[in-house]
Amino acid sequence: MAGLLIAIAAIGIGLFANILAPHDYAAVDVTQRFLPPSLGHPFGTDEFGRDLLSRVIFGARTSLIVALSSTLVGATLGVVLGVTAGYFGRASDEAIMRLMDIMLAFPSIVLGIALATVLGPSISNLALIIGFIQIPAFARVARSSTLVVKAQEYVVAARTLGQSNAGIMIRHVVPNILGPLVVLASLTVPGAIVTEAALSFLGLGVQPPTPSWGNLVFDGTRFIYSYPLLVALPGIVLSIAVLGFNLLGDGLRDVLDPRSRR
Amino acid sequence: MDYAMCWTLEVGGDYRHSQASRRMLSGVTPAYQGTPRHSVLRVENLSVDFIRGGLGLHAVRQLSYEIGVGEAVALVGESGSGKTVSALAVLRLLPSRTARVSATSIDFDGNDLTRLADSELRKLRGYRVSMVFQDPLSSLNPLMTIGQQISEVLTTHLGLSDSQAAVRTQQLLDMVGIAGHSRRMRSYPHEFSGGMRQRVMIAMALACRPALLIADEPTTALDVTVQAQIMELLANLRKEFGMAVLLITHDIGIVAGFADRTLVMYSGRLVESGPTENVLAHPRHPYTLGLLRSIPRVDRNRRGELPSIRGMPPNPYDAIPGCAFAPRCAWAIPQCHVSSPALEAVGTDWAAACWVKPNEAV
Repeated sequence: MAGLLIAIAAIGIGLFANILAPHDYAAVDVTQRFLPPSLGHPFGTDEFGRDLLSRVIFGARTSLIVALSSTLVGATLGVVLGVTAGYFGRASDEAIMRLMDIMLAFPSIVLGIALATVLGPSISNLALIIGFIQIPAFARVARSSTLVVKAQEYVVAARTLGQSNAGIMIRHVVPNILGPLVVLASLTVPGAIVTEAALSFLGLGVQPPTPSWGNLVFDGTRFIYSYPLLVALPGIVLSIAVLGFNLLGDGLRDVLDPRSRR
Repeated sequence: MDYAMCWTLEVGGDYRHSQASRRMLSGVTPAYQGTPRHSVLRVENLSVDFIRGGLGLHAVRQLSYEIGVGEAVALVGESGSGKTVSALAVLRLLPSRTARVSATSIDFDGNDLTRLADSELRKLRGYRVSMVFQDPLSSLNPLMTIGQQISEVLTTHLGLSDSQAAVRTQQLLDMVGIAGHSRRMRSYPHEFSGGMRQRVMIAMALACRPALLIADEPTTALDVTVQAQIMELLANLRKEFGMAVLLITHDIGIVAGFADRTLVMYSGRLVESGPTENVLAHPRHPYTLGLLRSIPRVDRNRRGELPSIRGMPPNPYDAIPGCAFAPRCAWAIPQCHVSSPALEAVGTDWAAACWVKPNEAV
């Protein structure tokens, strides 16, 4: 429940950033640098005198766009590969799943850095890269669920009635494996937020002046001894959002998986 | 083969419902005309082995049978005797990874199923030959409405539009005795009782008026009264469509009123085949006799112990030199343990695979 509230709040903040933000996130005012939190600037200001709260709010938009669209990319490709592997089995299963193993063998952040270096930093590239990293997780879950559903009698019945493989996969298999995939997706979002933050922190993600939670923390590290609030406040917001999405994922799993229900 | 041929005879006998269906009927020949022949399915020397861990399990051995056009044939045998596997093998529905299927020929409706390409065979499934399964609870996709699932068959094989398929689906539901179509079509399988789900399965199987329906223990999961209703429905639809039915069952009780001919399988082999009344009244194979004697009867022997066939069916991994039933057979002679008997005629269209062929009343 708490997870759902936090997730809805985070998405709401991202959606209505332009209404909620008290100031222009890019308005520079060098006379107002490093202001401590006050009524006018609840989170204070940064090294250029920009309102930190506004930047965190717009950062939510960037971070969530990247997290959600990358999860969509990863889920779509992962499900296509996983269902294909699970449904046809044998050679295609081996080929696809070994490819997934190879992808999993690389630490995701290293893979992300390599791809970001090649593709260049931008929000859409970031979504593609993080989505790409997520493919194996979705492929594995989709494959194992497909193996279960494939053995169900209604799939045999559909074959008996002359359905094509593609038709069976789309109409009979995919709808019946959505449960675990939804859970996985909600658990993937916080990971994507963190990966986005990490890549942006490394300067390979969202480029300034566009704020994201990751590059806000990154920019703040330069002043971590003189003005630690610049790191602490975006970091706390980031942590709460990640926690919220994780709780949401756990909650969804409990609801959708009858075995873990009390 | 023209898709329109599937529409040659009306299912519910009622096409008032739509313009679309009338259009579909116009200019269509009165009956399906394949090459003239007497049998709809002729299986010769079908063998199925399952390969598991280097061991071969002989599920079906040298099975041959024939089903005439419009004929109802019962395939009887205990669990594991290879009834279902032999039917799945005919339709090439066994996993190719583990099952080794071989047959001299499987002639269905003018097609040799052993040589037919996968894509061609898929067009026949659900169209010229359909199958109804044992468990109607799990044979329907829990996430699709009844209407969607029946319509799917129609759009796949007949290329109907969604609205045409919806009209047709109503007629099919009518045909299997499910009233209140519009609400029923939007229902999900869990809202239906077992008997109704089996009716839906039958509607799906018969959507294209197949020449052959394979019913794999269609009533096993249902209670006795519903069982009788479903069997009656199948019998009526069979008469109405002139369709052949292969009824796979371990329940000899439902065979009597339904099947023209009965095939008895034991340990992957056909042990007796013949007209149902002959096989049930004077079985010539000891296994058939044993099966019939072990049915509880109200008119006889109510105090004593119910007769049973002693022993266990043989391990299907073993190669058996003689008759597979010999170790359990009261009539066994030394020859039975050494060489396997072939089917031998014991009457008109009636054969038993037994060296002894005891002639005893049930």
